[in-house]
Amino acid sequence: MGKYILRRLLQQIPIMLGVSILVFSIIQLAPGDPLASYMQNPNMTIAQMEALKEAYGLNASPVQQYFSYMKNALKGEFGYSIQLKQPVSKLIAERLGATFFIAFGSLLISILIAIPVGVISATKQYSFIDYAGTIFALAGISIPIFFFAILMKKWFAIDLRWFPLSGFVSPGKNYVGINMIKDILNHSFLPLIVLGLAGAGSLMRYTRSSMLEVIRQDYVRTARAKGLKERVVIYKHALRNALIPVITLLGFTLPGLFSGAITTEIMFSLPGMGRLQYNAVLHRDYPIMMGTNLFLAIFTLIGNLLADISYAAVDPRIRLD
Amino acid sequence: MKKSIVLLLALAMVLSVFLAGCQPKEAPTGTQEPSSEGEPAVEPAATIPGSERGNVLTIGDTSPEGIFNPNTYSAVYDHYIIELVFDKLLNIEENTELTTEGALAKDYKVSDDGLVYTFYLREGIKWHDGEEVTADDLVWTYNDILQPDYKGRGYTAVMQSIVGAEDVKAGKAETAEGIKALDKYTVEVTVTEAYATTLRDLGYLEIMPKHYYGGMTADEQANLNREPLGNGAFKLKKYEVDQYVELEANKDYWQGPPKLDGIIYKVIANVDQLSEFETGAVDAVNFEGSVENYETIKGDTFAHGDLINNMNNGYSYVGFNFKNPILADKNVRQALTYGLDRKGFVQSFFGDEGGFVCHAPVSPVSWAYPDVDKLNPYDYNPDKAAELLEASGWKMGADGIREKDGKKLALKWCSYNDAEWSMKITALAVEQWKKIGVDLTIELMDFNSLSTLISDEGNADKWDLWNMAWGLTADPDMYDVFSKTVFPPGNNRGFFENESIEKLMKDGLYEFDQEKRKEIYQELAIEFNEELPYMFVYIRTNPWLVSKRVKNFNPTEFKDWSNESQLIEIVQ
Amino acid sequence: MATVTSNNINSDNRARSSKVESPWKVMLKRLRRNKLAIVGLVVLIIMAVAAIFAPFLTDFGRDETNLARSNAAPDAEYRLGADSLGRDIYTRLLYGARISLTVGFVATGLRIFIGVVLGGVAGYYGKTVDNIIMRIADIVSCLPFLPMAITFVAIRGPSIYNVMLVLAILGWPGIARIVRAEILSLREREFMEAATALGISDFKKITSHLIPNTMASIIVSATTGIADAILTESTLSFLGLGVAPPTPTWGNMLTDANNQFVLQHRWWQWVPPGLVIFIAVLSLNLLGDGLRDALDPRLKQ
Repeated sequence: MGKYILRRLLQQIPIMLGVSILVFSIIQLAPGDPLASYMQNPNMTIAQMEALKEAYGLNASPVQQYFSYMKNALKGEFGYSIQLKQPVSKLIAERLGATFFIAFGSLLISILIAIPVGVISATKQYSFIDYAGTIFALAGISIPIFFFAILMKKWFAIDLRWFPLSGFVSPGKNYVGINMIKDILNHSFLPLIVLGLAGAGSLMRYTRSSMLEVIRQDYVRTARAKGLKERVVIYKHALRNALIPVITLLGFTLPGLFSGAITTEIMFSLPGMGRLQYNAVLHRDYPIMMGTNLFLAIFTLIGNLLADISYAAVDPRIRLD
Repeated sequence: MKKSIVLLLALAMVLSVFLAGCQPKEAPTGTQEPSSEGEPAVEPAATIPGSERGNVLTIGDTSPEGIFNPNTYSAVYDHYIIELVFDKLLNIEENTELTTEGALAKDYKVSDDGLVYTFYLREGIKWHDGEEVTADDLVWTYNDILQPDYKGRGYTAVMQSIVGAEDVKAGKAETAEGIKALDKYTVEVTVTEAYATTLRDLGYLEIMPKHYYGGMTADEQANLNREPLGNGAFKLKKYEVDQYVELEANKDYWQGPPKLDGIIYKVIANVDQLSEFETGAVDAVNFEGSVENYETIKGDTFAHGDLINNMNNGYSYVGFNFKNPILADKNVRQALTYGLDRKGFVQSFFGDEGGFVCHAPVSPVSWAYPDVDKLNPYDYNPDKAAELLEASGWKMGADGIREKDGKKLALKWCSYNDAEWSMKITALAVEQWKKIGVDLTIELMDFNSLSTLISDEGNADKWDLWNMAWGLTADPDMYDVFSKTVFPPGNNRGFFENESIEKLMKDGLYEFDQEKRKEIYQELAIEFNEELPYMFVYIRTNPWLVSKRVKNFNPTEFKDWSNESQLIEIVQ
Repeated sequence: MATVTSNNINSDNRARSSKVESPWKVMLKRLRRNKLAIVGLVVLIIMAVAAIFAPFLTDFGRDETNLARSNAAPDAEYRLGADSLGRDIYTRLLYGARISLTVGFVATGLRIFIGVVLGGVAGYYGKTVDNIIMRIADIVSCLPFLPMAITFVAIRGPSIYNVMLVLAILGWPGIARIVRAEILSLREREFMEAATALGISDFKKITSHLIPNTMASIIVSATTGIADAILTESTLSFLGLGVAPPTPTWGNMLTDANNQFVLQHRWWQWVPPGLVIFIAVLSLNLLGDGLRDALDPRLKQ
């Protein structure tokens, strides 16, 4: 197993290099000038613009720029933001917390909704509850996240005023301990629900089919034949086995979570990486665009790796060598 | 069968959820106008949302970039924080005249030839760490902008004209010889060119402490961006990225302690501006002046707010490319202007309160704005447009497009799609210009691509029109926008060239007599209105909604709310 | 995205099952029993017909403005009201269907084309070719979807072509993996050996035997892929990076909803596009879900 993990890890290195080259080339295609925003200022002279370009290293060739970038990246330096004038690694680091909180919090909500609904749907196949569950699950993935967020904000933050409209903490309160957690939960409730419901759909469908398959297995029939109570059969024998592939699926959903978090972060003004990246795109801040995409690619790799490893661990059909 | 019933039920459920969104809100009792001026607040103070926050003002606005450095910031939102933390060498009055009132200089002197500027600092003003503000700090602040590794946009033509500035930029000297501390509180600056704007550029800036920022590279200095050390009414207490900035009162402020205990600058999204105010999460908000927003704030849930409806200091325009002979013809430019219902556009976009049709590149509230009767409003008039086009020889073709010498009257407008107005005005222009026989094609791109496209002289044959906006400063000088010396990559992107305008702009730049300058710029506005280097489109408002619990919160056209922050009060 | 990945986990199981009838026929037969999926299919057909015949269903031009009627509520003239430039919303909804459905179908078609070609080549030739193609697939599928899509569209300029392109470029590895896995397992089977014995060329083997056998699972993936594409287009439009106005899409029409006043007082500017996106995507998902169930041998009754 250790060998298998090591080999999979080594395999990630060329992939990571490929990703960096790909992301870098796409960003190099950009026609706009990252300093274009300065042009709105009528007092900006041509000489000033040239001096700025030189200072930001924008005059070097793309290949040169790539190599100097990768050299620094290996040292943990992901460049310097043109707009925010801070190291990209620092800008990302200070936003990881919110992004992780939203991503994993919503994943938790997805699981809490999807697995019970999926199991019930499967055990009562073709019942009213199965159809209601199916429609509910598919409706969740059929609404654009931004639109869902708009509606939730309107009903629960503006009309009912149950939750704050936006933000991650109450400004200036500087809560600590349990109060801080309460404050964050209060602020992040709506975004977590929005992203959680959107993610629940496919997870629920997957749980359902996995469960359906397991229920028809011999050992479940045997358990039934032994006269065990239906609840014991379902929840002790069947569910545990049905969940194995579901858990490995979670590894694959990680990148999707971070993707979905972008829209949620923008809609609810959360201080996360997605919003950083979106603003960077609008301002043509190449170093940030490069950095956030690379970071997210690394998360994806880690997610895939975890999924692979856990799948290999539970499924004897996969050979480890 | 059962399945389809479930489906129908589910759809009905979803539909009802959709429709619930558009049910009118239940109105609380009473119908109050949001801004009933002069009338005292009728409701008991305790009911004003946000009262629980006490003597702290909460502003809601766009996220600052976290560059709280007076020399290197670029966003106006950062400048709000900078203005709270730093005081300026000279201040401006309502009418944009420079003043020493509330400024770090107690006096200043300009030599008769306009080449030597002397500033006398007030004595005993302290930085937030207790050190005294001295001439050395001011000398350092100027020199910081001249350094070779300086990355801000403060290196203006005036800064470049300081004696010895170029040597510092080239790395040949540490400090410019034209900047001298005569004694502990006196600084003398010598320049090579006497611009009318020199005093403003040298004086209307924040001083930075040498002992805190000095002796480091630009990158090292940037590490202090989020921990500014100033001398203003407020100190920065906490900066949470993309969330809020917390400031606390500077009890030792030289003009006396501020009335507020603190200010919180809360980061909110544009679309949430009014809702955040409505729910009481913020005390003041600078909202977008759309017709919908003006309608919204008339609602009862906004009764705790007063509207401050300033004009925005800037204008939007559609630029003409003079390299295209079709557009070099004044008749065509005027015809296109007559042929587009700018008033209707502004009305539909901003309503009656949010924006005005613009006639010249000068703010209507500036002293440089001429008598409005002297400006042609170019009211929508397709007949007049047709007449002008006929006069220039453009005859209607069989396909409804005018032609001259076998050439069609076809134009290409490059626009950007990151702003609503630009998408709407292009859509409107296609329709309305078709009626006067102009075939218009639109090419949309993002803002940066458009900037890049029109800033390159080699691209001049790839576009005929573009649209953008300019911000204006307190001084009406527009030489850097319309002079033939600033063709692309400079700011004169449409290659506009006009002898008499050129001369007037230059005169204005070097004229020191305020009355004469006024005449020059008013004359210029009239000429621009006639010549139309741009089709001027609109000047929008810059409206604030301020809670009734806040007093002395007075942003004006030329001064941000943060300018006299020590006077802002909370009344409960 | 999760739906695509779940497909490739299942894919090898699935391939082993279809021995007697082609999976294609089994699928259609089972699909007919799934009412929800049939409802989805019918709704989609209606929408497609409305999109195709848009000019015959309205008197207005697509971008026809009328400032005098800006923001008009629905009446006899404007069946679903007007937007802020006085354009007829009903008309734009019809034309928007064209664009939105085109984006969905073309992007997915392109994605399938790239995926089938590369997956087929990789699976059939194996060895180095397989290795190279699948490593590229690994690299592409590592790219974070929405962040990369935003980056790409922002850089290339927001247009219908770039939206379709980015959806295809980022989406093909899923299809390629399905196709490759199916081909790998089919290759081992007897009828392929028989084909080789009969001297049938490689190209013919791939086109006439292997591709049809993978068709069923591709169609499932395509259905949900179209749904994803329509949603992604609307999100990109909302972020200002989708199909550029004045070309209407359901997504950029829905952008108006992001304003409390419009939400409160002008339902006609956001309920119709919102509802249409929801119904279209839901229909596609119901159909896709039905097809998956119909195709999944584990769910045989």
